[in-house]
Amino acid sequence: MGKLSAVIGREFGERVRSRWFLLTTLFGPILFAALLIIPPWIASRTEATIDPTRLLFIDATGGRLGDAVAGDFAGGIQSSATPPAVSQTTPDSLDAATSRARARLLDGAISGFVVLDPATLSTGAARLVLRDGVPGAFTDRLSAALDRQIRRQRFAALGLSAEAADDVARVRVRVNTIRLDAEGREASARVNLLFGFGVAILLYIAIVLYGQIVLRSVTEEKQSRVSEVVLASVPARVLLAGKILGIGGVALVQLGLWTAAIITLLANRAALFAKFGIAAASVPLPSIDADSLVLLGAYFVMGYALYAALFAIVGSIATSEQEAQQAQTPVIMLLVASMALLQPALADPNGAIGWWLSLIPFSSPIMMPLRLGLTDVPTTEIVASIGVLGLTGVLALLAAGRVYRTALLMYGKRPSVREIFRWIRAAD
Amino acid sequence: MTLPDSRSPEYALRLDGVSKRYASHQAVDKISLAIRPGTIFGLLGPNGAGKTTTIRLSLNLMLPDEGTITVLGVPSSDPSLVNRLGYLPEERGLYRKMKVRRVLRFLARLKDIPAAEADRRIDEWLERFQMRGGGRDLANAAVDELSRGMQQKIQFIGTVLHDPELIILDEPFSGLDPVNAQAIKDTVVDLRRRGRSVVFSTHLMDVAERMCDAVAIVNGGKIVLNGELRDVKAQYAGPPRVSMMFDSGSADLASGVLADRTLVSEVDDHVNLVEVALAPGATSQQLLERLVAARVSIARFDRLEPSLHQVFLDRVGAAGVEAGMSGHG
Repeated sequence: MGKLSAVIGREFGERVRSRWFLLTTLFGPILFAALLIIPPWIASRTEATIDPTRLLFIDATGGRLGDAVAGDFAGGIQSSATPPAVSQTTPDSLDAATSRARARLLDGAISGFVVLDPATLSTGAARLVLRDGVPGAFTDRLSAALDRQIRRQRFAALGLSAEAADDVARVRVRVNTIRLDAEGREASARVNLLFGFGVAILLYIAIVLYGQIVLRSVTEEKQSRVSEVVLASVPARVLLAGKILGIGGVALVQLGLWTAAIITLLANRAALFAKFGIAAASVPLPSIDADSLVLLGAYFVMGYALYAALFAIVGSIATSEQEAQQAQTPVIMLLVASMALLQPALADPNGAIGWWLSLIPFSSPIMMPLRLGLTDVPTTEIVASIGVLGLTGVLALLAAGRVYRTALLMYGKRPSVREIFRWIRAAD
Repeated sequence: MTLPDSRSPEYALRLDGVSKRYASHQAVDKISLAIRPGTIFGLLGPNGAGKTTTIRLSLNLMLPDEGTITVLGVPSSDPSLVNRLGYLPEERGLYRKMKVRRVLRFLARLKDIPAAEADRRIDEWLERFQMRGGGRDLANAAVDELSRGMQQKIQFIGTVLHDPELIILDEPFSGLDPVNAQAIKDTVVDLRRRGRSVVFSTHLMDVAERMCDAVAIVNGGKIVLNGELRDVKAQYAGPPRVSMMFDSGSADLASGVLADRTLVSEVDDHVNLVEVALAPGATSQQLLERLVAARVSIARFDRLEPSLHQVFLDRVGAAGVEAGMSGHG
């Protein structure tokens, strides 16, 4: 036990003390904060480049649609702003007004113009002319204002009072998808989809990242010839177990710090957004219970152990760092294939692909957490999935221990697949 | 420190009919060896003779195909043995990025030495090898900041830090400069003085000749010669050899005597020194009398003890020498 803890202690201590650990631990939350802030920030910046107050509405509808839309448009988020200018014109002089506006836009006198032609009221079609690319949020806002005002005018034309027309026009359709779990609790399906997807990607990244660290650690030990000294003091399986546990400990610490940082960021996102002048979008936090957290942890731990064992085998048979990089391809492919099939599984979480991939041990650590977030997976399936994963993990670790013992002492020659299987079958 | 069984076992290491076969060749072929405790034992042989495999089998790093191995009185597979053995492999290396003290502490912990005790011993050993004290302390240097020789000394410290009863060194002097090699030699001799057993492999015959109580010569996976250094040398079957120096002007007079093939079978003229092998039946006394009779003025006349190098040549033949054996180092 003392020897195992010595190996764990070295793997854990040296890594936590390294500059690499400090950098990646800081980088995770910084990356997340950037992903959280930069897209809405860029969106808000782009929007600001088209000054709505310098927009011109050319209204040839004959009614007061231009004024109404301009007022509505300005009355959105930036209600304090002065409404855009409106130029009333007749259908006959619309072309002339349009070319004048075109010239003013090229001069920079206006930031863009909207053409409401005589047919707009009946067809709903309008034209927006700008110098630069158009941000989606800007057209969405314009369309919404146009939509509301056209409805209002048409309702009024049908004889409704202005208030009644307003009232009808203000109806906005939203579909809120609610997912009812087995206990009858409600949760937003969208949040769960995002959460399940996020967890799957996080597990994938964590398994690749820390599996690679195991690979590099084994290769380094073999290349530097330290392994022979260590193997004279501890059995190969203890060295392997200590390595996987030590690096796994680093993974848990780092993932814990990342999760804590992400939760802190999300909890304070309103204040954070305000600092950058972004209107806080409502991102509902997923509610997960302790049971699913334990299950997620179990999938990570077992998935990591399985892949760490595979990476350790690759590292111990490779005779150089470059060779290890090449030899790991089959292992990486197993992970990439799981990710590639995420999309079809996402579309139909209880379909054949999802079912099989959450049972096959090489993809279940990624697929099952995703399905857990989307649907109610029957308990028998979870038990079967965990059982298969756990069993495969144990077998992989035993096999890795045997390969390790022989391969670490072989320099210069890479063993054939047949030789490796012979070592695995050989009794201790 | 109490040493269970260490004084009592008859042998520090004993191999009985041990064989190990790799896919393509027989690395070790029915080797039997018995090494007394408290002695220095040399495992000699050219590269590829099976020395490293023999050592790895003794350390239970590999399992023999047949035969039994007993270490310090217990079977080599006994897990309690690891803390009683020290091993310096031929392929050497340490964790490059780790600091010296952390590496040594780790190696000590692998042998169940508590940290405080390990630190005390690390300081002691570093001072002994002049890597600490006098204003400098390499304990806090990273391994890859040290020279190759320094790294080898650190690795040697790692081998003996837990005060093992049996120390096994695979080619301990290869790649070392004379100063560092001397430091390691002194330490090995000191370990023997303190009752420890040392087994080392080497292809350097003169090193083995100066240090070992007993040797075994291995070639092609088999033991060619094995025993106390004296006995091994006594088994030398070649002709007696004499080394001579003559005063100036006497060399020509001597050459007439040395040309007699009934007296001398082989002459090796080194200009200042002449080494000869005596013909069958001839004695050194006869040679000396003939030289005196020829009025040769003799400056030096030595009857040579057979060297391990010659014993090896005699038993293994020149093929072994070409395969990497060296008499110098």
